[in-house]
Amino acid sequence: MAQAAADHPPPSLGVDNWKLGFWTFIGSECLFFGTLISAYLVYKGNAVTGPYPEDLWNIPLTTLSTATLLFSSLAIVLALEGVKRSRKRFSLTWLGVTILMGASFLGIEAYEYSHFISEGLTLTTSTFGSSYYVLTGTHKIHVALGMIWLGTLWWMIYRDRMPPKDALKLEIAGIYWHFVDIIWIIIFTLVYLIG
Amino acid sequence: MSTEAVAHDESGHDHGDHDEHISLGAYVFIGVVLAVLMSVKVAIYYIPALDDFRTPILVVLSAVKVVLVVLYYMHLKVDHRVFTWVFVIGAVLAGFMVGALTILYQVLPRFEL
Repeated sequence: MAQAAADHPPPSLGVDNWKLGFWTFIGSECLFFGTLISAYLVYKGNAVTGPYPEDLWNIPLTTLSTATLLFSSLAIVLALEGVKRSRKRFSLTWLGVTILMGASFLGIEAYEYSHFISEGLTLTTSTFGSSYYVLTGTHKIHVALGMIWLGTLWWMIYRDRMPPKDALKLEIAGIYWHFVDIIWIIIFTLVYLIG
Repeated sequence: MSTEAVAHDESGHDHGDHDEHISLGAYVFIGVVLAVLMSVKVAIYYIPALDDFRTPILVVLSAVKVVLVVLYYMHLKVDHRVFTWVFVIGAVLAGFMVGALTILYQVLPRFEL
C-alpha cells in the first residue's frame, strides 16, 4: 500500500493552490458585485424623492478619483517587479505609492459622500440613495481592506521578509487590488457616465 | 510588447508561474493606454452629439479597459488557463445577471407588455 502511494503522487492541476483558490474567490466576487450593480440599475429609477443622480454627480472630481485608482494599478505591478528582481527600494516606493493612491481615492470619495449627504441624499432618502451607498460603500470597504493588506506586505518587504521566491504573496494581493480597480471602472461607467 | 510563453515541465503542466513575462515598459504602455481610454470616455460624456451612441461606446471602451487590466496587470495572458476559466465563468454569469435584470426591470416595462 505504501509503495502504491509513493508511486502515485497526490492529484494536482499543476498550479499553485493558493492562487487557484484566490481566483475562485475573485470569480465569486464578480457575482457579488454583479448583484449590487443590478440592484442599483433596477432601483435608481424608482426614487420618488430627490436628489436625483443628475443633481449630484461631479464628473471631474470622480474622474480624478478614478485616475488615482488606475495609477495605483500600475504602481502595484511595478512593486511586484521590484520584489521579483530583489530591488527593495524600488518595490517599497511603488507599493507605498499604491497605498497612497488608495488613500487619495478614499479621501476624494469621502468628500463626495459628505457633499451628497449635505445635499440630502442619505442611505434612507430613496431607493437610489440606498442602492448607491450600498454599492459604492461595499467597494470602498474593499479598497480599505486592500490598503491594510498592502500595508502589511510593505512592512514585510521593509523588514526583508519577502525574498523573490515569496513574490506570490504580493502577486495575490495585486490580483485583489486590480479586481477592485476593474470594479470601479465598471461603476464609474454604469453609475456616473451612463446612469 | 514583449511577452513569453509560460514554462512547462516535462509532464506538460505549467505551474501558474510567470517569471518576467511582461516587461516594465509594457506595464507602463498599458497604463498610458488605460489613461487615454479613460480620457476618451469622459470626453464622450461631454459631447452632446454622441448622446444616442453614448451607452454602447462607453460600454465597449470600459470592456476594453477591463480586458487590458485582466490580461496584463492580473497576468492572465501569461498564466495558467484554469485561472482564466475560473474568472471568466464568474464574470460572464455576473454579466448575464446584470443584463437580464436590467432588461426585465428597466427596458421591458417601457413597452407595457
